[in-house]
Formats: sequence, structure tokens, C-alpha cells
Amino acid sequence: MSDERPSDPRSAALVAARAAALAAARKGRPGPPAGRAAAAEAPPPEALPPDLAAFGQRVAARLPDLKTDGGTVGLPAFRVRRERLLEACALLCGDPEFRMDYLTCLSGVDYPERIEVVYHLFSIPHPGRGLVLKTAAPKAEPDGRPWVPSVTAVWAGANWHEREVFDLLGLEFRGHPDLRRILLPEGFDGGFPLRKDFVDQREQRERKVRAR
Amino acid sequence: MAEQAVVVAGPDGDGQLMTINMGPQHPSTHGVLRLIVTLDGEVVVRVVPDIGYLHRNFEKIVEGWAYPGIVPFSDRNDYLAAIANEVAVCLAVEKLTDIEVPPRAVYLRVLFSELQRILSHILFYGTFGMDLGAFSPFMYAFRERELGYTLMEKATGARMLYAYNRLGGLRNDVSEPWLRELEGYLDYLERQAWPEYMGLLIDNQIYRERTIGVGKLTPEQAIAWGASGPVLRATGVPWDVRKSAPYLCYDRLEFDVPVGKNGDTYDSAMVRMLEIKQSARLIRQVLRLLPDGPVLAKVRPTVKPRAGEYYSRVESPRGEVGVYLVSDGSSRPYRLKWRAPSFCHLQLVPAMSEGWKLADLVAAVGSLDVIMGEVDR
Repeated sequence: MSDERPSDPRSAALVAARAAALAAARKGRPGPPAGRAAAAEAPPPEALPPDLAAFGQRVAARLPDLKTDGGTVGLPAFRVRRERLLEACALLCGDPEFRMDYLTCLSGVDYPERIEVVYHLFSIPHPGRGLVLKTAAPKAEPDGRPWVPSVTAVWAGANWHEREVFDLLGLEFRGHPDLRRILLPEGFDGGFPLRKDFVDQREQRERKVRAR
Repeated sequence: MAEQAVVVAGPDGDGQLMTINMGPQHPSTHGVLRLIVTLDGEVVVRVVPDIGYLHRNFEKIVEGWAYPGIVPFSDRNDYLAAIANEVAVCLAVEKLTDIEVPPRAVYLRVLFSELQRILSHILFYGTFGMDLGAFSPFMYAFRERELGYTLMEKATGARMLYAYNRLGGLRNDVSEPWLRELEGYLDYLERQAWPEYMGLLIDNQIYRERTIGVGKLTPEQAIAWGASGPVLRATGVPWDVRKSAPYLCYDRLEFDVPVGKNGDTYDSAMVRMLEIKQSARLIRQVLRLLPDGPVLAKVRPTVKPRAGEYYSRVESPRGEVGVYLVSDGSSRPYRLKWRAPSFCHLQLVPAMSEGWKLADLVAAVGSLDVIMGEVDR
């Protein structure tokens, strides 16, 4: 964490060396193909059970902003632009036709050009239903930080999940009531660990690491 | 965290607020949990949970690991019901790799999941009693847990962190004498231990006054905040992943899901006590229906799921454990997100305890049955 000592020039060199080594090691793993590319390249996934597939079709019909996403097994999956996210979430949660009132999982995933937020939604009144909703924040932002709107107004339980994504991936959730680090200490200035190009930016010392 | 001292007239004390730390080392906070509590006398005005003291970066570490190694590593998240974690990971990877698990292994996974539920709920009983100042139930609970741990050790080789599930089934089979011993354990639990627990603590007048009406949650709050497991069921919502999204062979087994009425800590504890009996019922059915055959499918040493995503869910003793797996088709995950029930439940602590006394805060946190291993990962 931030010390008052002037920073050691050897530390900066160490951090740079580690970043270069990581970039070289990651060259062979671009990650899974995205969205439409995934639907085209992946082998045809097993079909959803008929009532779940029908539910997915009803969602797609009512919410034209949602685009079907390939690659998800077991649940209908959709992508939505972050500008339309809140509207879509409010409809999915509040509308009596859907009643997706149960957000069980909110995850952040780091891709090369963007950070994706994935919402797993279920319905307490209708146990057979499930939905995956995805939105993405491009990393190249003119003012610095990638952002998506916060859904805490729709599902209160998104609160800590969004804080965790902010903490570990550096994604800002606009409209979040209390956006601050949750797992890492408050003043942690080493970066965002779950990013693929993460190298600890804090003061580093030379250390002997057994080569793998 | 700077807290402005606002002097307000309160029913307790002289209205001066005091901000104190409970934890991270504290006998009543169930692991390394820090609660920043603002008190007016003994009334909790504000409580802010501070977590992350057990953060071990599980999700980042497994991004570089081959899938078979992730299964034993996941034990460390919810270390009181380790089998549930293993099953969650195995279900996710097996789904994307299209591994067919032999029927005997499916039934044995149910057996072990339910045995873990019994042991975890017995621990809850002991620690909840201790939170409220009753020290004897803790010793009684550990007597039964020792017997349970011995059973687990005979079957899997380990007492707490098992590494027993494998991709494709289980590491080894269980013997007939072991199954008879398990049956004897269940008889002893139902006939002797459970009535003792009820008589010693649950029917105790002081316990009832400390828990009835304390830490109340409404069903709407519980659903909105993503509660699951006994915390959600205590409010009256009959939601159980084993019934709503059955996995393994739960759809072929008969069991009831205890549901509370008032959403207070008494109902939360009672739901867990009744679940012990339901778990025993499930294990007896499995003992009757257990098919013969191998317990491990033939799986290649290098496990490469197809590229895609899957969210697997299991009902652990604490609630819904979810594994969101993003695979890029290689032998290591691209992203593995662990959905921990205790993480979601800790958000509820302010709603349950603000305006109540400090001792009620301890009861509320205890009734959530959180485990910091899965909160922080």
C-alpha cells in the first residue's frame, strides 16, 4: 500500500519485467470467441428443454434490445447494450409475465477489449425459469475507467457482487450506492487482480521463485 | 472509515455514539469477519461488515490450473461442507465435457452431500448456542461431529477436506460395513442426539427469548438480497435448489423442505434442525436404492471441456453454491466464478440488526451460518 518512502527504481524495473513476461506467456491464449462468433464457431450446443426454450423466445419477443448469445449451455442467454441494461432488467424483474426477481450471480469476466458482466437470473414464483443476461463495457474509454450501470435499484443483492467486480476487475458501476473495494484492503493500489494482464503494481522486491 | 459523531438523544445511554470494531479476531464473528458497529449505549445504530481477511484469490489461481486439480482446491471455500463444493465444480466441468457419471457415484454423491449437511447443521447448532452464551450444546455437537468425522475418514481418508470427488465420479467406493455403520450413526442421531439437542437448547426458555423475533427478515427482503438456503426458507419462501433445479438424483428421492414462518433467527435455526432429519431420511433412501457398479467413469487425464459457459448450482448447507464456468476449449478455465451463499447473506446483517441490541447482532450473524472461507474465497 502507499508508503511515504520514495519509490525504489529497481521495483519499477521488476514490475515492468513481470508485465513483459506475462504478455509473452499469454500470446497463445486469446480466450473464448465472443457472442456471434461463438455461435458460429462452437459445435451446436444441446437444445434447451422445450419450456425453457419457449420462455427464451418469449423474452426475445418482448425485449428487442436483447440479442441471443451463443455458447451458454443449459439456459437461454442474451446480450444487451449497457445503455439499455437498466430498462431490460426492470422489465425482466417487475413484469408479471417474467418475474425474474432472483439474481443469484453477478460475475465480471475480463476479455481483451472489454469487460463483460454476466447476470444469472431466476424466478422464485416460477422455479423452472432461468436466464443469462450479459452486458459489456469497452476498455477503451475516453475518461479512463470502463463502466456499466448498476442494477442495485432492481435487485438489492447486486450490491456486494458489483463491489467485488469493481474491486477485482476495475469496472465502475454507475449509480451504485457505495462503490468501494470489498475483498482487497481499502487503499490497495496494486491494480485489479482478475484482469488477465494483472501484474502487482505495488512496491516489489526481488524474490527467488522456483521455476515451473 | 471516518464516522462523524452525531449526538442524538436515544433510549439507551446519553445519546453519544461510539464506533467500535468487532473482529476480525472475535469469538462470535464466525471466522475472520470485521463488523464496524456504531453504538448508542447498547443499541446498534449502524453496522458495516468488512470482509476480505481470508481472501486467497481462488478465482484467479484456478485460471491457471488444470480442471482435475480445481476439485480438491474448492474444498477450501466452504470447508464445513467440502463435498458440496466439490460436487458443484464437478457438475460444471462434467457438463461441458459430457462426462457420464456412473449411477452408483451419483447416489453416493447425494449420500455424502446429505451427510455433510447433517454435520454442518450440527456444528451450526453448537456454535449458535455458544454465540448466545450456552456452552454445553457446543460440546454435545462436537461429540456427534467426531463420530461423523470418523465415518468420513473411513470412507474418504480425510476428516474435513476430502478431495473425494473426481471428474467422472468418486475416488473410491464405500464398503458394506461402512454403510451399516452409517445407518447405525443415523439411528443414534435420530433416536438420541436430536432429542437431546432440542431439549438442551431449542426448547430452552432463554434461547427462545433471545431468538424469537430477533433478526427478522421479510420474504421480499430475502429474495431481493439474493438469500438462499435456510436463511431464505426461514422467511417462508419454499425455495430449495434440490427441488427447483434438481441435480444428481434428487428428483427421484422423496424429502420435505422445512420452511419457517417469521424469518427470525429462531426459524432459521429450526429450519436447520429439521433439515437434519430430512437429510437422514434422504440417506436412508439412498442406502435402499444404491445401485451396484463402478464409481468412477473413464476420463482422459487431460480434461478439455468444449468452449462455452455453464452455471452449476447445488444446495449446500448454507444455501446455493454456484459455479459459473467460462471455458475456452483448453485444459484450463478461462474464468471460474464462485457464487458463495455466505457472501450474499452477509449483506443482510445491517437489515437484520440495526436498531437492535449488540447481543441481537451476534445472534443475527450467528443465524446466517456464514463461513468466511467462501465469503472471501
